[in-house]
Amino acid sequence: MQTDWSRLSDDDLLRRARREPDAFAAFYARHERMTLAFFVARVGNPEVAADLAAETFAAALAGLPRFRKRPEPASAWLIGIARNVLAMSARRGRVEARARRRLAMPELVLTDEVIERIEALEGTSLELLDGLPSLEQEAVRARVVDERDYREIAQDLRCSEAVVRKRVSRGLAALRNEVGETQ
Amino acid sequence: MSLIPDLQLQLRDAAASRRRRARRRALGSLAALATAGALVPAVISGGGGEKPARDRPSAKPPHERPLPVGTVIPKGEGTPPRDAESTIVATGTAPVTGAWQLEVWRNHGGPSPPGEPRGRCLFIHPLDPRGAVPSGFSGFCGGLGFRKTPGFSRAQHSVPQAGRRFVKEILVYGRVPERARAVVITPKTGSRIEVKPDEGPKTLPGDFFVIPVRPELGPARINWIDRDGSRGSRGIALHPP
Repeated sequence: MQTDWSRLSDDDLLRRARREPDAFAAFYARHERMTLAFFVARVGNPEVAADLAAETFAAALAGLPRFRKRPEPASAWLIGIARNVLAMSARRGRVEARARRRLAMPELVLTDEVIERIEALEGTSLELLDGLPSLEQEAVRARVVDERDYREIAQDLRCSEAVVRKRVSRGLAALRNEVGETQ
Repeated sequence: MSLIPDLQLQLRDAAASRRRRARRRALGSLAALATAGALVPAVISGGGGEKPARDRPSAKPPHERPLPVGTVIPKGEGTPPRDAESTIVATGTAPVTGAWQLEVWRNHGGPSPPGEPRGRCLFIHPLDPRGAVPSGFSGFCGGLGFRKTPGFSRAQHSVPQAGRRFVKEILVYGRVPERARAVVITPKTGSRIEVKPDEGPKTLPGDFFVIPVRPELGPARINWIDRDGSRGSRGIALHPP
């Protein structure tokens, strides 16, 4: 019987991905657009964004045994990896490919059509942020766009870290649904 | 539909081949154990007062054995290639994890590993997993002592069992001040574990410890004691596995 991966949470997908490769493919499909949008907004080049996204997911796959369920959503964990990949690549002046090499993944070849579709994602995330309720928008913008600590955001917003995490979690989930629906 | 279907397929294949490799390793370990009739020793070693593992005779190829304490691994060398010059501060062998190597390096503020704070970093590298899944390496940066326990730090590296989901061994490691006579783990129930820390190289202040514990240990705290047996700090709780 085929598993309906869409019914599983991110945490469950990542837990099952250790044994079932299809679960990781489903996790990739769920977060692909968000990750590509994250990179294309920062590097402005769809091919580089695709390579960075590939490295991010490869690093996530390599890091699966260390993944533990946390208060923040798994998408925040993934964005954390994406930020690290971007920082490492910027520091070395080339797209990081260590995780892909370790997993023996071949070089990614993109068609013109795929490149166009990635290009179209530029600015998607930021535009979509405007559609979120103001409290969630503020939290997602502070955490994901401005890359600030939860503690610092909580102080600014005068609420607890748990509340900020919840708002980021809800906001990211809403963005993911939105991106999925608009493509 | 996926935007980059090729990448989705590549990741799926990579996940499948990781799983196959893990299963092969698990079968290999079982076969080796069956052939040798060996029992995994229940006694913890490494960081203790016993003869260091590097001095014990071994038939293993040299690359699986730890390098001597004080060895400096240049940037870009080693497996995996080190991001910065790294000094080996302690070595030993754990029942499940096998040989391990504890290393100190300095993070000069670059994102290496990304997001880690500046200062000295302490990392553990398991070299030769026996009944365990190779679990990479782990560590922390920002100085070798914690803010609330100056000169003393504690980190943990969980080692999963091959072919299983759950943790089979936890390496508790860190640094203590030079005047520490022993590092003590006190569980809520059961007997305490006391280990003499390793000297470490002369170029680095403080001593180092790695204590392999079983996940069944339960809630516990770790602390160091001086020559008079007095507690050295407020202690640090161990994370559950």
